[in-house]
Amino acid sequence: MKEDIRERAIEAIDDDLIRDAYESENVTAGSAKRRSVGIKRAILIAAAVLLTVCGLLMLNGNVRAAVIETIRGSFLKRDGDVVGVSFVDPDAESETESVGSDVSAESVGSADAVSIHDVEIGYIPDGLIMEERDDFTGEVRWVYLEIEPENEGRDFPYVQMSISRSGNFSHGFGKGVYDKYVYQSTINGMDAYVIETSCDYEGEQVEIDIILFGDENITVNIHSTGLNIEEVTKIAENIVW
Amino acid sequence: MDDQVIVRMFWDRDENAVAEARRQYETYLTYISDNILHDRMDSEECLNDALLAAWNSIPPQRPEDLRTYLGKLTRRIAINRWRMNTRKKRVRSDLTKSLDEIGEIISAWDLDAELEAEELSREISRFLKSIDETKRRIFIQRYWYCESIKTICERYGYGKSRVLVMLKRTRDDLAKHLKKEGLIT
Repeated sequence: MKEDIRERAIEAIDDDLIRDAYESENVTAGSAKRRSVGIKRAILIAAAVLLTVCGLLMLNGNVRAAVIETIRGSFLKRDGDVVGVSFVDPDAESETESVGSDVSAESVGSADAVSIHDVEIGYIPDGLIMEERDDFTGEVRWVYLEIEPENEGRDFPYVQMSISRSGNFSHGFGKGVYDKYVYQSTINGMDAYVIETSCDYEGEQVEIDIILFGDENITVNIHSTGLNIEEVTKIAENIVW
Repeated sequence: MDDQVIVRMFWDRDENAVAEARRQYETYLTYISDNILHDRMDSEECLNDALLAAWNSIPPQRPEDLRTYLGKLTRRIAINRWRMNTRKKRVRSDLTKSLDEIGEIISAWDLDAELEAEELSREISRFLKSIDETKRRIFIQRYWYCESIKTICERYGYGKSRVLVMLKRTRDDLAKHLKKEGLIT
């Protein structure tokens, strides 16, 4: 009965919606769009690299070395293609906030460039991603942070986060949105768990999704040019490891 | 040939109507059945059954959009065939996953209220018309056309996680919408 209703309800979606979904994104249009996305991505990556190089020329030796390292770590590849690039504004102050079951957030971010105003914790339903991760046997957790950038003092909103597991693994990744283009980064595979991220830009909001595969004792560290203490505590309360 | 001309041929019981409908929409209908059945022979039989069903249902039906009408027949027949094929062996396919995903919401529907599928469908359509175009299209491509995540990713140039999260969020929003409308308890 349930299945029947489910199928009939979906089947009877308005004709114009069904037609639109087919006509707007048929195979040919899809190819064109992919090409367009590829070109746009290449242009934006080139622009980001150019901006970074210009920034480097203005820095002293020590800071320059640090920034080079960050940039090197931020070129992420997937199936051979560069899918994202981000870089850090060396002049911005930054603080680190640590949240997790056994860590409380105590320090306060130094600026208000980013604030987190909504947190949802959920589970990825079975079968969505698990089947492609046959080496993974642990529990899947999904964390959704909706971040509203205030954009002060920067060309684009920026937040950097890192995930560590039982203190023996740590990997950071940054998110930057420049204009309406989304820099995506994906970091795959370390021991028994995988981190997947995606980033959407919708109107005034940057949404960052972090999908965690792993067991307990995972700590999320958030580095940002600004997170206020209440918001960070809110994350700590919501993440139940 | 114009849709309405073909429909008129059906009404006139002109057997060329079937051949003409096939000629015009075979690619579209095969695309639907292939997404569900993943078997060329089954898809071919499904196409024949759908055209026969059209012959039997027009008249009395007089579809304004013949392609979508035939598409709906094909989808229903393909799902029935898929169910028949998999009755004895539990096979995971994109259709299973697609139904499971949408089932997360449907399982919360209050069946005791004897909701008509038509009413639910109307609300789903209303919701879909209110959301972002890309999200709507991806939702329909996934749940109506039963496309694989991989195909959707390739089409839009998106990563897998982005598509999965987008679909998850749309389903959540749909659930909220149905709850707000009193269709979910």
